[in-house]
Amino acid sequence: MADLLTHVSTAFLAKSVSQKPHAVLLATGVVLPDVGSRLPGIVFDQLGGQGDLPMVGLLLGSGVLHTPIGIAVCSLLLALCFVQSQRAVVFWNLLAGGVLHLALDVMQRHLTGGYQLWVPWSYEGVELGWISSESTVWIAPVLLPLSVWAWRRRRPSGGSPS
Amino acid sequence: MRAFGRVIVGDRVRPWLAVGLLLVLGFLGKQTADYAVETEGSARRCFADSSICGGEEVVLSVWRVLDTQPDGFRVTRLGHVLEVKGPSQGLSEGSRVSVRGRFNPEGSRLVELERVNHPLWGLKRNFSLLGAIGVFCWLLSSIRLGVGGLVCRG
Repeated sequence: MADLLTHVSTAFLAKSVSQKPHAVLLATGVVLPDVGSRLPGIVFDQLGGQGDLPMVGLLLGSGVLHTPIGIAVCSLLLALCFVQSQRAVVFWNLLAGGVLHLALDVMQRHLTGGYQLWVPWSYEGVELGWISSESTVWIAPVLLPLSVWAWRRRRPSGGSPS
Repeated sequence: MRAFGRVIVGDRVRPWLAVGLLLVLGFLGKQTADYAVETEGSARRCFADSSICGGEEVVLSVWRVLDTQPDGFRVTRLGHVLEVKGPSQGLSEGSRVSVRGRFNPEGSRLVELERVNHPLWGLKRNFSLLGAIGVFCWLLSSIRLGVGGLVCRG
């Protein structure tokens, strides 16, 4: 995974290019894969959790939220929480955010062989190996303010900042 | 696409669709967990019965270093501890590593074949927490509860 500040930056950049509203939904979609699949394990480790196989299985199972099909199902589930008139726009923004997230992650290289994009049909890892998994940390502090600036300049006028 | 749109925006099917999606997510999660336990998690099966893993090759992704010895180090993740034989230079308690290794014949110790240190993992985690909290606060400030569900501003 790349750091989430860089991921959020890609959402701002995408919205500054498309000039469409609901940047907050795209940003939410961009962070969801890591929040759903990585955060539980990190918190468990930080708390010094002792895992037997069922517990570890549950934590490892959350990895499905970092796959295209898991992202699509999760986006649809979250979209259902919104009023009828907004469900489609919520769904598409969350889904696009998830796709943006995977597009950045897949550029990295790992010992594990990459991300499982074809679950449940195949668990083969996919990655391009262009950057290390931590190289985005150096650009995040610059990229985030630049992308926010670009988005604020180009976001639809007259609407809400969301 | 239009039919799909009608389904997801319709109120009548919402509860059934939500239950169905939760079941699908649970099923996919179970599949993913089973696969993970069999692969990276094969190291985990070895904790229960180390004799079954002698000679097996595994990859540990971002495990935390517990301590170091002159000829190796111990790593932990999700509550399990594993001893790795390999150079420990550059490692310290709390640092993160990914290791490809092969279990010794007894299955009690992993012999390192390839290792990637993650010196910036802590910074990356902090950046990620910052990003997640920021987006969460932004989302909370952008939605309100309306009749029939949440409403997003804009």
